[in-house]
Amino acid sequence: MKTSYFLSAICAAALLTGCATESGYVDSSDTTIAVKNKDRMSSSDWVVICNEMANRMMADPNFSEYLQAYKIDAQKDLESLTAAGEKFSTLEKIRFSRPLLMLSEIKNNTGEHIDTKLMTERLSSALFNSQKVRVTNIVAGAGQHQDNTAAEIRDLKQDSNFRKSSVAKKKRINAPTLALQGVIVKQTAQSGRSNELSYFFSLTLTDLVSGEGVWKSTKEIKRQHKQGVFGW
Amino acid sequence: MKRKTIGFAACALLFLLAGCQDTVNTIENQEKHATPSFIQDKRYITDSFLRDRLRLISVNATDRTPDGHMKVQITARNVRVGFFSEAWSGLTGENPYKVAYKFTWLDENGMKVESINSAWLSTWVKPGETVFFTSVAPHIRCKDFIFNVKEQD
Repeated sequence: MKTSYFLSAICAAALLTGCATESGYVDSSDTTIAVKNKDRMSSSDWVVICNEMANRMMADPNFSEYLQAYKIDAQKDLESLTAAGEKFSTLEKIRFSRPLLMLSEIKNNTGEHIDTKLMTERLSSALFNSQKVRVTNIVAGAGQHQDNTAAEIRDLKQDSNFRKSSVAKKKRINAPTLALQGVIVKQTAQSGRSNELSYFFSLTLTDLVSGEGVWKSTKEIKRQHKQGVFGW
Repeated sequence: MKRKTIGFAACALLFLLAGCQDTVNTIENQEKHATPSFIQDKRYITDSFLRDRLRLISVNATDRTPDGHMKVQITARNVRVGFFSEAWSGLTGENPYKVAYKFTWLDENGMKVESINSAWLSTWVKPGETVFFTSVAPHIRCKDFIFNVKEQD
């Protein structure tokens, strides 16, 4: 009798535990605890890639050389444009020495659906917050976030509800001078029960004036897993 | 007789486990030509196992990067070599040794700077291997850093 009560209690506890659903916040930047997909990109893969690429961008001598040269040329341009009568806001004058970055296409050669904004938004954010570049969303490559608000807002001048002097003037938007583009390639391998999945990333920052690359880097991430004996 | 047999079998197993470990031999140029900027570090140790297994050798920090961003490189070595270390790591499956690490950057006011550079990452370190943990400051304002490392299963 006592044994049956004990066994019933054990079964009830097991049932309750098995039916329990756990949900809670975890650190999104912690790649060590993230759940990883066996056959496609996972959120932690983007964090790993962006961490590595951002570190390389920040310390790259070629990119730094480009920024220094751009700063010198930009100062000269600002002086000559100001002398020619062109007006610049205070903020424009402060930031004129930084190139304007647009997000171009990241070619997806993986055969799976990937939203490359998971990488480009992080990298552009890192560059912008480091005060190395300005960023624009008005012009963007395929698959990147594009916002035409800055261009469309100028049409409010036709709307009589708005004070015309408060509407942004035409011919004040700057064209980008730098673009982030790249390609992602997927490779898989299988040997017996062992499976391997790798993603090769190649990113380039291109000077849109000369068409030349000013920074280029590649990184491959690889994951392996072994299928269970019984297939799961 | 039985105890002796069991004892011999256990010793044979330990020798086997230790002998099957692939550790790393290293060759480098003796006369160094680089001019690293080693800095003094302050350590707060809560895991003595990690301290004894992954020896932190030096902290190299410089702001002599092209744009003045501070760059840090922490050199460490997996010292789980030798008969007992290798046998134990063979038994527990900790070869190679997996560790997780994170850099946190602080600005000139000592405030934490949120960035993609501050993420927990993991790496495998083979016995005897020298590993380098590196990070570049997300901004030139960042002057200090904190490095966290832990064992990972």
